[in-house]
Amino acid sequence: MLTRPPADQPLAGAAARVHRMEVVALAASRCAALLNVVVALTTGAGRGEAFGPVVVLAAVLLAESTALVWLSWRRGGLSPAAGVADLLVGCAALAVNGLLVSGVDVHTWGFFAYPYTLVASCATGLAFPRPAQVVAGSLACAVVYAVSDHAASGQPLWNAVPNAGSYLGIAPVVWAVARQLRRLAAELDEEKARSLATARREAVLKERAQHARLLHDRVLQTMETLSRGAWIQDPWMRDQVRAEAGWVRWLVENGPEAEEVHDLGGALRALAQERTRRGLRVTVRFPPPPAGDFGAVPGAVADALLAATHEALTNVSKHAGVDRASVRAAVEDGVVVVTVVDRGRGFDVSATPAGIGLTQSIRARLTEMGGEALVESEPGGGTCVELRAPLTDTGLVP
Amino acid sequence: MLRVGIVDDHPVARRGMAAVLGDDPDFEVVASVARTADLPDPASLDVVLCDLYLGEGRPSVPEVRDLAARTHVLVVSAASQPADVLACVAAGAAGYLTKDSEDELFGEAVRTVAAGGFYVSPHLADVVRSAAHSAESRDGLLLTVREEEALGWIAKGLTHAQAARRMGVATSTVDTYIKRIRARLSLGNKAELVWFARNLAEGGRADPPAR
Repeated sequence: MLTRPPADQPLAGAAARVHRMEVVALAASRCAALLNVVVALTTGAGRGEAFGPVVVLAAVLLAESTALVWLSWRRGGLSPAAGVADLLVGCAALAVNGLLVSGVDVHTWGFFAYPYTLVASCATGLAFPRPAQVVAGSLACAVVYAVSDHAASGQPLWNAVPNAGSYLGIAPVVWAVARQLRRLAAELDEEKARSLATARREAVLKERAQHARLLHDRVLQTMETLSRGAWIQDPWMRDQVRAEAGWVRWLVENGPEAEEVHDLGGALRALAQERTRRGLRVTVRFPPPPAGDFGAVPGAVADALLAATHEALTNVSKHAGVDRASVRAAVEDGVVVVTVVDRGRGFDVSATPAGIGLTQSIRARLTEMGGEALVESEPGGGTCVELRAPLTDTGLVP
Repeated sequence: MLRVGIVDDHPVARRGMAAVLGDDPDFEVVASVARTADLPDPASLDVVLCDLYLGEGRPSVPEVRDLAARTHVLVVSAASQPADVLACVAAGAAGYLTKDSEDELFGEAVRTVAAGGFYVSPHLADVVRSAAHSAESRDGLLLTVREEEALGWIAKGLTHAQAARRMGVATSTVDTYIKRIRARLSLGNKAELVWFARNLAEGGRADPPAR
């Protein structure tokens, strides 16, 4: 069901145009209805003693129609209350007109309230939201007309049925057409609002991309250059600059929303940044989406992987004899894979007791998630730790 | 001693790369310039490091094509659109590296490219794999299973030697796989590569190339 906006909220766009069209249609239908009254008055309706009351009745109808059109124009359409009032006036006019012409050998135009209410019932179609209300209003007019005509002319009731039936052909049709137009207008306006919002969003993104490029082309490259080599003598300061450069890069590549650690990717970046500040230069890489999108990684899985990465990086610091490590994470075939690689001194995996590389508790946590940890190394050949866990919770203990 | 040229519109980045390479006794940085036009005869250089974006935010595809006709080109950038990187490889670049890579990787990349090889950084490995995957979903396999496997290890940060050990083959075999991928990407079917790039840029909605 189409609902109108509240009267204090001005209509705009296509809805406003449909509303203007409704006001014009209402005014035009009322003019046509009043034309019937004018013709009746000028062709001798109520000739004789009833002429005065007839003119008064016509004046009332003119005043009511004018008020209705004015109301419709001012209030953004006709309310059901206005529709009810209009119906009451129409029915009263039928009854009064019937009484005035009663018994008189009336000219065909004498009962002008009939053609008037017939054409004027367009308003009923515009005023009520529900089809049942429109049909009920039309039926009320038809019944009042039939009774008034029967009382006035003495003709049998069934004689009035064809004329009365005409009421049912006007308001319902107007209602159906108006509803369709309003609905189309609402859809059109909604569509327009949507594309406007999209255009705005795109403009924001474009501006952000421009800012990112500026940051990138100037600030980031300078920071990244400073963070390597001997430009900065103090290693602690160099690592600070590198960590901050990593943060700026993250910001530039992911936008301001990504500042918070809200998924595995963000958490790994934060971890790398923390380690870099403490002297282990960790680079973090993700493949392009979809493989680099971690939105679907369950929190428990991300936590377990993060804890394991934590420990793998600690091992690099303690044992590898290098100050660099790289972390790469990806989602491939429903499995999250985090790889921690260093080019350090490595160790002989076969000669090392089980559990080295990663503690039992870390391994157990991964296993609980249906995952595993693979450690590969050889003396002088660096170390590669691969942490795997399924995206789905099939491996979870219920 | 390898003669190296650097083209980058960012003076600090230029100086930084020159310092990294200058620390290595194998390299001599003979030119460090903002525009390719300012380079000495490219044919006299063993490797040219060329920035992916030389101003204006447009990828340096024409510059790379020009240079690649006369010398070995290693494309470098601070950050990148995957499609732009692939476009440069299609134009003849022999490798791609991000500027924040470790110093050793810079040395490794320049040596590989100077020797006529293809240097696939972990980043480029990821880009090629994603593009190949999105193209393969419509067109069948574009990389062999072994090539894809080798790329996968490199993407994770492994060296060729580490990847070879994982795959149970000799390091030279991994080198061969990577060279073959380059042949497919740059010398082979360029339309296919452009399609890779478009697939990556547009999320797989591109039309297949005219054959």
